[in-house]
Amino acid sequence: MNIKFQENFNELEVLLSGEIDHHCARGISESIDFKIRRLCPSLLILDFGGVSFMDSSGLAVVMGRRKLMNSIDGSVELRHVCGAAKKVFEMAEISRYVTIKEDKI
Amino acid sequence: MKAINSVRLAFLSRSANEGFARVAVAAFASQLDPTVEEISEIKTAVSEAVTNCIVHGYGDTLGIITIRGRLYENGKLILSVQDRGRGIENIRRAMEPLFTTGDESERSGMGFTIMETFMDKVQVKSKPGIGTTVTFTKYIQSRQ
Repeated sequence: MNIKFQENFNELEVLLSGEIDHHCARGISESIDFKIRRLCPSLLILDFGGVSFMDSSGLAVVMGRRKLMNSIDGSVELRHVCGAAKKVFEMAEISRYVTIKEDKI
Repeated sequence: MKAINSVRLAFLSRSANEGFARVAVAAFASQLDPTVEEISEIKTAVSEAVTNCIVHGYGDTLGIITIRGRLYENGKLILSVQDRGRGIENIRRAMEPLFTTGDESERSGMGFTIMETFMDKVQVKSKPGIGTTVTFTKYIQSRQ
């Protein structure tokens, strides 16, 4: 798992790549939370374009970050959700809680 | 019906082995010529079951997780994931969507729901103090 951050004005963009499972989920969540607390962005963008595998640990990563963003009146947007991650998100009806931006890579 | 091939994997309940387990099972299942989507579903279900053994079965202790796989000629794959951990008191409740006894910031409570969605059949056997075995059946569709 690899995480890259991009900061633009009030947005924090997180580029995730590799596999998201229970083994690495806590590290991902902690490093994103550290950035959110420091920058207090109004929008958190989680980009799943480089994610090759994701199980339910990825749901907890998204829902936990949504909770933190809600506490600072911000919102969460998912981008480039495809493959395995897409199926898990669809099953959990995650679009009820966060915006999913459908665009092609 | 007799299995055409079988494997048994045993490994320590360290979270670093989650990746090993799902990739090893995917490699075994690939003998049935599954689609990319089917392989992805198998990997996800195995990852959920192994994570349950680590987080709920063994918790703060370490133990052995055993995966058994069997392949059949008609494209049937049977996988079982077993721990000798603390077991589940109430299996029906554990399988409910969004139910978790784990840390809510880390666990979604969707593990069993994902297993049931991605596999054709999921069977859970558990005894408190003895351990838990989750058995999956998946039919790999023939592409001929």
